[in-house]
Amino acid sequence: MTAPAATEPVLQVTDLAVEYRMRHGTVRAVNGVSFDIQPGERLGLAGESGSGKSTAAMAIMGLIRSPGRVTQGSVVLNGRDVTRLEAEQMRRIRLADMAMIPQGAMNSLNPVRRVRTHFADSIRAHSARVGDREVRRRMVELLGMVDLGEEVADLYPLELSGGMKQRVCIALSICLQPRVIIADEPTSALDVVMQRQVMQTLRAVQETLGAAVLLIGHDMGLLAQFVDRLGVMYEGKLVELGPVRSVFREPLHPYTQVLIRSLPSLDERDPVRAAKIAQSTRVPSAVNAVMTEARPGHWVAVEEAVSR
Amino acid sequence: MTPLLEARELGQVFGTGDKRTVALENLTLSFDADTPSFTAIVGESGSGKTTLARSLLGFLRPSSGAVYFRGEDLYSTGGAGLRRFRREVQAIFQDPFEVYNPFYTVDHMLATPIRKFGLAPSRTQARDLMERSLRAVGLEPKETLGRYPHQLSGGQRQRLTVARALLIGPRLIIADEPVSMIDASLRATVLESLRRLHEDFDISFVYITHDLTTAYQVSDNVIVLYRGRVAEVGDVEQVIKQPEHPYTQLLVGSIPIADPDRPWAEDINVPEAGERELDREHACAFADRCPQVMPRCTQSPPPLYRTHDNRAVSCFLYDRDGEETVEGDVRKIFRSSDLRPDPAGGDGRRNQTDPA
Repeated sequence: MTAPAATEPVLQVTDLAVEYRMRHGTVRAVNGVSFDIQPGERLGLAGESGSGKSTAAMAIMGLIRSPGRVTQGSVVLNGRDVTRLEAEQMRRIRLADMAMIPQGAMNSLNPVRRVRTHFADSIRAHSARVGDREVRRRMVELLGMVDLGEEVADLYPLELSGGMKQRVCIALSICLQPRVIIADEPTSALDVVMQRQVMQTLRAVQETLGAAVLLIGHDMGLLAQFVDRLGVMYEGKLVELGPVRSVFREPLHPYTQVLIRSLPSLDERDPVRAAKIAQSTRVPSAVNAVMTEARPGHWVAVEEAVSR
Repeated sequence: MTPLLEARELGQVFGTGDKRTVALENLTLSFDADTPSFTAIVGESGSGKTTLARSLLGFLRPSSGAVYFRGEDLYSTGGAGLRRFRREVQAIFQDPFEVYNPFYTVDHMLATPIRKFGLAPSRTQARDLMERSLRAVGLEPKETLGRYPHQLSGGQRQRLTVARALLIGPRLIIADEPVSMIDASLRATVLESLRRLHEDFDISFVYITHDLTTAYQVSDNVIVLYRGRVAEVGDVEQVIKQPEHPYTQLLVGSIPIADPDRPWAEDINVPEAGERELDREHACAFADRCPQVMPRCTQSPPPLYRTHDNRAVSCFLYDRDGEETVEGDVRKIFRSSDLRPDPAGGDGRRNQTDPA
């Protein structure tokens, strides 16, 4: 389903599936998901808790742990399928070529290490011989890119506010200039004003680097503000994928329609209307659906029988 | 006319000495028993909104000021008075998972208050009451009763807690972030059920949230809190559409609108709320972040200036000649005019039958 593109995609996910083998059977958390991202592009993945969006991100990063397992599909980064790599090869790729900004920045920094130690560890995990002075130089530059001063380097995570911690995480994620940044709900713990500023920072950094961003989240407003293209996940499947304007203006899949049309608006006060849409729309199971291109570049999942 | 519930000069201070944190300062507001209202209390984390909810619910004794239920001090009342309070003022909490005991079917949660408050003389009537409350919040009794909590969605579970609150026959429901843990596509149904109870049963609501958009959707009045103080208060339509306090302006302007063609305005750079406790006697709570800060903002805290019949703003920008101040007294704003857009609710949709 990859449209012929002018440039080679930086990341190409094809028919990816992740299964969790449990005592009571197997759960397919991600069920045949395909998409690609062009260099410098911002792609969003929307979906509710349990839709598989975060699991897909973890699979792309090679971070699925037992009892979970990538059972099919490929993740091609810069022309190389990373699902076939050994652990050590994958470790080298993470951060250097593909970095993740985790959900809940407050928990992802080591509380007993200063900010500067995080930078030194991250940089040296990939090139052990970088000297102290060079680490310092790069760190100050990176902190500057996320609007933080040099003095932050000597602080411990608990001395930082939520917004500062998230900025430190952004700075860490770009310390090796990755081509792909995966951000999983990067602002979910922040107040709206800080959320806006952190997203601003992420965009500035991304544009400076020319990196592609995969933004994962459930806040449709945030996705509308940030991404170029939007994918919607439901029951482990990608049920819609298209240019963000096209998806917001004419959502094609019933689930996307509920998601977008039942959003509370700031224009008109009418809680009844939104609830009616949510209650009256039947969302079919996506399990056996296949993607079809309904409009140029805008794909939707339909039941296989209907598609032909 | 004695209000149903009233906070007078309510203050909450946690800790002492260097660790002293003022969570809420000098807040006065009230809810009438006879004129139902739908009030949103909006604020970020640390604004004092949950502290206010807990104080109003009788869970947190005020450090200063008092909370009155039907004219009696809530924190020194007991016995019959407290029993009446527990019937007439109900709470809905954020997490629709935590309030359930996973070992019981959901019937248990509905049956317990019926038994405790003696709401139904017979089993049949108890069943009938349960079914009516469920229908009132848009749940089908057949699909709900006899189930275990894990068999219901987050939205269904939260509507069930609304049904439980409803069957007790409250006059006021205090809902603290009732939809923030519910998936987006189900939020609308929960909010709509709150709104419907307000209109059909004349129940007043205090809707506590960090989300201005949902506050705008369901409530009629809004109180914007910032660091324990009222920043702005008034008719929700006006406050959201034409915010007057620089903080409310920043807040409204930062809402990510779900429309790619309405992006945030130009980049902003506002410092984060100070970690340091502010000098409450000498400064506006927002002075350290305010783009329009003036010298006097760090000399004394601004009072609430009345800017319209049904609005007030705590900001010196509105200190015009002869402007009336209302101190911390939100009552004066909400009493000054009827803030309900449709005062009688009067379109026949109103149903005076209390389910209890």
